[in-house]
Amino acid sequence: MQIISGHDKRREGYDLGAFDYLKKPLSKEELASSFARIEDFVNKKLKKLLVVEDNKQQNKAIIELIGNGDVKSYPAFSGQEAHDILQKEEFDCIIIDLGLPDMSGIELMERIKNSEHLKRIPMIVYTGKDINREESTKLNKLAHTVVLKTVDSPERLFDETNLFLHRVESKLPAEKQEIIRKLHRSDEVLINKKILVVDDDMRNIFSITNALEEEGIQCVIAENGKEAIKVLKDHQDIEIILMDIMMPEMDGFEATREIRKIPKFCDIPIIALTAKAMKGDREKCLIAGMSDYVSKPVNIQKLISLLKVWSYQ
Amino acid sequence: MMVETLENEKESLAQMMAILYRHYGFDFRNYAPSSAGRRVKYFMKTHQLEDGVSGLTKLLLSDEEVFAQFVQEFTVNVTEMFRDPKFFLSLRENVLPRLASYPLLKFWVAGCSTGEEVYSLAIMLKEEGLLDRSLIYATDLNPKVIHNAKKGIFSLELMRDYTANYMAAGGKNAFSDYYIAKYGSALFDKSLQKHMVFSTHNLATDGSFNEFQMIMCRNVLIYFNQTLQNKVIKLFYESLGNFGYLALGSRESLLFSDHRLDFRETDRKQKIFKRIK
Ligand SMILES: C[S@@+](CC[C@H](N)C(=O)[O-])C[C@H]1O[C@@H](n2cnc3c(N)ncnc32)[C@H](O)[C@@H]1O
Repeated sequence: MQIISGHDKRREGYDLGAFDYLKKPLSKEELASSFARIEDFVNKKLKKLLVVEDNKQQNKAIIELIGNGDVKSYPAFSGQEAHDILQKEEFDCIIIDLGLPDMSGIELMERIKNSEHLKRIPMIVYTGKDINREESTKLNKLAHTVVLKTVDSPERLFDETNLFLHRVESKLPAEKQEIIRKLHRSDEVLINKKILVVDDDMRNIFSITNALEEEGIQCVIAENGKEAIKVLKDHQDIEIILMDIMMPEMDGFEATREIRKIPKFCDIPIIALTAKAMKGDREKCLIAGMSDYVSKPVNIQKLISLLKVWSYQ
Repeated sequence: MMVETLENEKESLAQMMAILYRHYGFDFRNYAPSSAGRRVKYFMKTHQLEDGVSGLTKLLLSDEEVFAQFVQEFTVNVTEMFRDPKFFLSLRENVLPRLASYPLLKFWVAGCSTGEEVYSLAIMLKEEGLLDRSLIYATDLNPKVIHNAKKGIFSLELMRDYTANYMAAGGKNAFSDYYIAKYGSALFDKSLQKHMVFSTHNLATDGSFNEFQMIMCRNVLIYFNQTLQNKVIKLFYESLGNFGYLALGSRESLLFSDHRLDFRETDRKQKIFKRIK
């Protein structure tokens, strides 16, 4: 029987939701795949967690908090130690304190992000430090989530960590996904274009910049209208702007009007990202001086086509 | 006979909503029929329109002003500060301490009407030391109420009742610290507004626009039928972070939602849920 695939080590997509299947009436194929999942579940390797925290007691406390049956936790007390152990073991999740004796937690995370075989491991920052907005933005790009130490934070740390340890990933191994994406990469109009993405929704920033970078586009980001105008001053070579509407400080309409006043950018294509479906809302975008719009959640293929259209201008 | 005319009425009402949707994009097709019918009738009565639903449909299509008026009156905008104080107390005790571990907090008050709830939330966040890292997105489909909400000016007469609500909600200061009284109005502190983003947003038609640690949508779903309730809860589910909270009104539930098992009750009575999947 060829139902159960070999236990390819790289296969990350174990689905622990297997038991959900049993509640519904099952087709033959579903039943087979359901068994395959249970098989996977039983044979699955232990989940491995790395806890990088220089305070010995706190490190131990975290390991005790998370540690149970199917999780094996490793402590590391410095950035270097973490770095070394990461070369030897394969981890499913890393918890990182920001203040380490030999390097900052940010530095460690940057190293991990720059490593081809480590960059996909989810990282959780667990810190007692006060974080301002700028740092928070920076951390957001590196870490999957940030948990500040408070009276109630162990509960959240526990939830978040378990979520990442046992997450259901997309069925294809990451490398394969990348290959497929690259195959789809069509023509070269977009390569090396510089695009400004203005949005306060981190999820959108992530998914859009990731996808666009795959196309060879360079992305610069801003979290609100005010920041966008600042960024434009420093990057005069930006060629297209993707602009969210509903943002703090300065919304997309106002930012567009301001940008249109700058001679250099008076006719740069500005594409609105809007959660609105109504005709009236879209007209408002155009009246404010935007060139076009795409609706949220953004369909990447559509967005890319639209960018092609606007970059021929 | 009676039953038949009722059925006819329902039919012509549904027809009117479909036409209005096509023409203006405002989607009232999935509002609960009994209360929708009541409100349409009331509108016709107060505006002395005597040509029945078909007459009203024609009028609404030909006159945008009347339509704006209709939207305003058709959607019920009643609200108060610290409405259901026990709910706010539970928020203070059971939810906010758990949100303190986020470096940046985003809240969405959906169907915020004239904003009383938004200011209440901001005051509470301030007292819990969280306001400085919070942003509250406040939306409603009705542009008129959003316009008022932005101003942060409420009638002074109401402050007595609101003070009582505030105290019952566990208020830590004097409520009057948060506003100044001027010309019969209470002007709320600008430092609260700094953390608010107001916008129109229609729950029936518009999509997700951010990821939130908490969404409050109280006393809005009661006006929707089950299909629309399900759709809106899905929108909330998609707009919540992994362990985010959802708060509904006292007469609302997740009963008609495909996502009901993805939430756990944090406070059953106060209708506070936590996304767990
Ligand atoms: C009764 S008020 C509730 C106000 C406030 N949430 C409270 O509980 O005090 C209902 C609000 O929902 C708004 N509403 C109705 N349908 C809506 C929709 N489809 N999208 C967004 N808001 C809607 C109305 O405009 C109205 O302001």
